[in-house]
Amino acid sequence: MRRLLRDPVFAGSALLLLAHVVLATFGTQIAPYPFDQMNFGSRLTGPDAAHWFGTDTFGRDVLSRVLVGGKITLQFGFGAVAVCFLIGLPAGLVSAYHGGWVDQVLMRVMDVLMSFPTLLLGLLILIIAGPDIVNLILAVGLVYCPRTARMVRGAALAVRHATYIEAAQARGESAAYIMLRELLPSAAGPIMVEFCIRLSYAILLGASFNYLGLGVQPPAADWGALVQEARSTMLLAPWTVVFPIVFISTLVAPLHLLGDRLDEHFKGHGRA
Amino acid sequence: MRFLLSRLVYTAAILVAVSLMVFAVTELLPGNVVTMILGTDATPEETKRLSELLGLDRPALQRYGEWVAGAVQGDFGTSLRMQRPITPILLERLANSLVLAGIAFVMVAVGGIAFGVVTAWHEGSRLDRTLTALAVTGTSLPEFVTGTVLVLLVGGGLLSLFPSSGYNGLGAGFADVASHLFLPAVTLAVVLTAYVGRVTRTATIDVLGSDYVRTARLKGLPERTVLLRHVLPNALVPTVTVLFMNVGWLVGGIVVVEAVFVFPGIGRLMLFAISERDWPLIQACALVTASIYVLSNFVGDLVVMALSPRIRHAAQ
Repeated sequence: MRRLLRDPVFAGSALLLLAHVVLATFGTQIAPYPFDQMNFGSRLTGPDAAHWFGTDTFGRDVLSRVLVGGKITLQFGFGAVAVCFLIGLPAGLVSAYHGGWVDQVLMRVMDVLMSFPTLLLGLLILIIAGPDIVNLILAVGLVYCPRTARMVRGAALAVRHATYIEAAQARGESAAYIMLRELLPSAAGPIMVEFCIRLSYAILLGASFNYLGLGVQPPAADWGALVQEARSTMLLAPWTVVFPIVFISTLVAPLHLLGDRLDEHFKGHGRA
Repeated sequence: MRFLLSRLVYTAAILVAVSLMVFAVTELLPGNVVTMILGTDATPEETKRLSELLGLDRPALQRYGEWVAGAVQGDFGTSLRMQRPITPILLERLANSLVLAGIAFVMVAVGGIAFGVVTAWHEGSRLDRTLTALAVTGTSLPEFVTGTVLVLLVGGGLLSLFPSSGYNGLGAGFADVASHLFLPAVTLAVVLTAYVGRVTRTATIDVLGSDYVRTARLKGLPERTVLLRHVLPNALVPTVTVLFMNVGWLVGGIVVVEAVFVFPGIGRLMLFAISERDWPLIQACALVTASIYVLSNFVGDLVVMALSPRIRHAAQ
């Protein structure tokens, strides 16, 4: 871990991520204006002392909208990953531990889900469920859970026939005990990698749905919706689109880099 | 042959599953389709007449059968919103999307291989580290961000080198078509190029460390010959594999790219159908898109099989 933290890319990414979590947690309190307060006296004004990030076409403060948008972005990101792991973790563990027909059935179901392009499957779910943040979380979580399940299954299979698993079986431990106390900890490394990568993809996909107008509804807006809102004004008033883009990029790219470095780290130790 | 046959059966089964799911969407649509068209203050007689007209009074399984039979013969019914047969519209939009995806695919192949070979050749250098970090960033950015940044930079923002919308189809002349396709194709290609590039890099580094490359160098062959004759042919097997295995990725990304650049393709047609609640059109777009995805994965499997001796021999 210490060696990881000395890596400037890893440390920098972790710091950026921390900053995003702090900003998102206190976003509503830090925001200088209510995120939906319109002011037609100051439409599309550039960044200045009163509005650090300028104002949008309704005179709303872009900084406040970006801060509140960050909260929404992290909410659906973490929410979707939670759904992914709630389904994918048990499915992957059970599949690896039991093998046989249980494994076959679970993995074929996952195959069918994965035979849809991710964006299309999410679109179909959102058409049925209707656009709002809870449905967005469910849609993104469902779309990605087969990938999490496969990854967990792979990581657990790598240690499935290790001596300590056989020892636990010989001791007469229950299947649930072996899965949670023996298989799960052995797969901790790959699971951490999966968490980072999945979170970055969940934010990416969720923000794309919001960009397409199928997620959170106005006046609330995450960073994807902010970029969409600013489409008609972006050439006239670039600040309406630049700040949301900077924020989403500095969140998603570090997550990917973190996952990448963790992956190398665990492989280097022969644990992945 | 067994492998081919099992993949064929599997692909057919997936296609059936996909069509069932697409059909189920409209069955599960919130609010009755008839109410959606007529509004809530329609009389019971009007409601009954329309549901008979649309065939909604018959069992779902029968309607599914008819729908699939029609779709297989190229008949997707009539668009509710446009009051026109869907198939001609769909074909025109699909052609546009395929042109876009095809150009993006070529960009991915050329860009990814160039990236991988250059970074592997200079492994460990500052150039390699910078490019690799850029590639990780590239894979992690959503298409709407890449596209918007490109528009801000060269599509009318800082510079006005390329138009950011207004594609008119292939009939508009080469220069017009090329300039309109450039930004959408680059945007679509970025994510996959970065990914393919990293795979090529790893494969090339492996080959560079092999005995036959060392032998070739010791024979005194010029570096260019070593690269073209010994390194590339071997390093490209995993590259081509991931390239074809990920063709399907373009299918998803294209929806967002078409929205960003107001491109008249099948992705934007589907978004239009969704916003208008035009369910026959939603079904048609979703079925065609998903089928292309499934089929391109199938083709990907075949290419991988042809390239990988282990699978090929096991299959014989």
